[in-house]
Amino acid sequence: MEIAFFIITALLTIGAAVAMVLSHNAVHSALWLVLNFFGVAVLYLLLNAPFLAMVQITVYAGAIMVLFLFVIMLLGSEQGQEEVNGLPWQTPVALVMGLLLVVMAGYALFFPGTPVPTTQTPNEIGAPDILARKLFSTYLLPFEITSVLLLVALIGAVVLTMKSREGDRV
Amino acid sequence: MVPTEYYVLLSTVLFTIGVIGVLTRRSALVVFMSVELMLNSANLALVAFSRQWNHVDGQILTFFVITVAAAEVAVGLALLVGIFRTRRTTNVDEVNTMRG
Amino acid sequence: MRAMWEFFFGVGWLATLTSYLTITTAILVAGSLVMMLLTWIERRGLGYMQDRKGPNRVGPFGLFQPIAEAIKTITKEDITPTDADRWVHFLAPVVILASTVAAFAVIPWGNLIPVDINVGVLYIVAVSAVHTVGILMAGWASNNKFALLGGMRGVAQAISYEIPQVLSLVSIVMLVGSMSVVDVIQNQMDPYGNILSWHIFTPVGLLSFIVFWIASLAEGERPPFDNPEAESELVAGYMTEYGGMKFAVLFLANYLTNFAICAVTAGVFLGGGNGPGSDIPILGTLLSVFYFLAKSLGLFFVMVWIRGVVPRLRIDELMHFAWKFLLPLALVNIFSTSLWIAIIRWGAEQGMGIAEALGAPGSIARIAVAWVVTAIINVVAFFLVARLNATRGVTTYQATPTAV
Repeated sequence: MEIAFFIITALLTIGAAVAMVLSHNAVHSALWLVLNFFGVAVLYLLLNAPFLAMVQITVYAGAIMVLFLFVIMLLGSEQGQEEVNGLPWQTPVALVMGLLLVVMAGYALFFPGTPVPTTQTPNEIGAPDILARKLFSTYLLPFEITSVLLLVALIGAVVLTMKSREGDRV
Repeated sequence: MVPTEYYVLLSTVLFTIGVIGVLTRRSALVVFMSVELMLNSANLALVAFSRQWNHVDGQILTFFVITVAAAEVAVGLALLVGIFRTRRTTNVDEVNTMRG
Repeated sequence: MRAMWEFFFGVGWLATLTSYLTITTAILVAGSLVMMLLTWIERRGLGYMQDRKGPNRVGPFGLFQPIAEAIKTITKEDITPTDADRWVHFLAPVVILASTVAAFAVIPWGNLIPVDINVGVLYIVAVSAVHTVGILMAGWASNNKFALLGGMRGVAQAISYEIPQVLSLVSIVMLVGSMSVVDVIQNQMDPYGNILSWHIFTPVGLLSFIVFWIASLAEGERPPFDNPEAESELVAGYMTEYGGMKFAVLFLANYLTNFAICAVTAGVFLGGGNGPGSDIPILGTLLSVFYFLAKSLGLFFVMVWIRGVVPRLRIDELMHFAWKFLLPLALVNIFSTSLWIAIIRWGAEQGMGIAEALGAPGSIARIAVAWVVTAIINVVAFFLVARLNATRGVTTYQATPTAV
């Protein structure tokens, strides 16, 4: 049952990712990516990480992708100027190398040298209270650094998009 | 229970699609989205490992990755808006010179 | 529920599936019925406030007016504009309605609980965030400048007001110590049936309620925050190019969002289905559903009331209000929530040895001190922020002089 659910979600996720790369309209790409993020959120739920699944939807689908869509529509650059391609030989090479990467990873995963022990214990490690306890004790310093990072990003975004005062519109 | 290997393979496939997207697409917006896809696939692998070893650390790392991704997108899109204002394009090949 | 179906089927997974399908159907049917009631309340209430009658022809007191309109919209022709992005245009109402209905999965109707998950509050935030994507889809796919402007406004507003909304919920989650909606409601249960145990009757909860309620009005695009669909400026905003059943779906989603906001507010701040007699075995369930609906519909009436009284904000005023007024208040509220918890619950081992002088954790003296401290902080913060906004925050709109 669970494996069927996993396979359906995995196919949906991969399909959405492929459609994201292939579609010519940047808005369509962004919408496919939203679908992909939803698939990943469902996989987090399967992996006993409900908190992360919700954070994934809130931050990725609700904030990051909305920001993407907003910028695409603001710039009016849906049809993404693909005429100029400075590196045309890159496409076939990328495809071959990508295929190679997947095959190698598959080989490494399914023919391992030493078998990995699987934990069969039903775990509740994804519960918000357990996550929070660890986050605010062991990982307190990284957490604080993250907040500084967000502040820097905030200021950076404001400075980069600020217009100079004297009605000088570039 | 779905074996961890399946999750890692799925994560690899998604990562590869992201890499191909970065290498083949020329629109800076789509390149950006492909980078997000790669970050996401790494997150998926981290959460799968977190379940494998029954440790919460993988999930916390994912949490940080999501935060960093949000910050990165904010700055990156601000840069894109700035580039678009001066160059009227989002094609990565047309902004390859460091001239303004 | 599951046990009942297991009795019929004898198969485990089929029973689980059927029980969830039953719950889903119940939520959908009840939601549509409530939506019809809400449109009636809104139009009759507004009519009363504006000294006119409102719809009163179909059925007693015009109660069947929504049904007549539903039939009208269903039989209308379904139109997609020629230059619209066909699929995105079609999917936008679906995404909007789905994200709205999904929120009802964790909202308890009194003692009737659809699903209880340990991240319930965050789940509501997450699915309502998806609403924003739907608005952008609708605005962009219509290929109409009014629709696009409405969509952009809607998204700018939703993202800005989401922050104070979520931050005000953070203080409640801190108070309760759990993200489950059921736990949040249980926390407001008092063994003596005392309504003073509702969150709204603490200084922290009151400020949280004010911020949450105003931010939710903006999230649900209720007047005075209805700029995305301001009919005097943008025709109907992102809904301009929608007609027939698609418009009906958008309309349904709009009212369901409003009802979800009222239901969440009633649950988080007003004790959900709590009330006298709500713990009696069977009658209590009915009573609790009644209390829940009474609280939610009462809150919806407040929404209608606000619509009748307050004029629409200008878009820049609206943004300033979110970032300069609500956000600082929500942050101050988180600070005073932590003080509240520290004074009431913590002992010497958490570094609050001073509070031990007032008695054991949870004693009356501690609660009194916490009340006074947080009340002072919140009231001072409220007036300080209001004053700062009144003196410095005002930006008057100056139209650029144009040569006539």
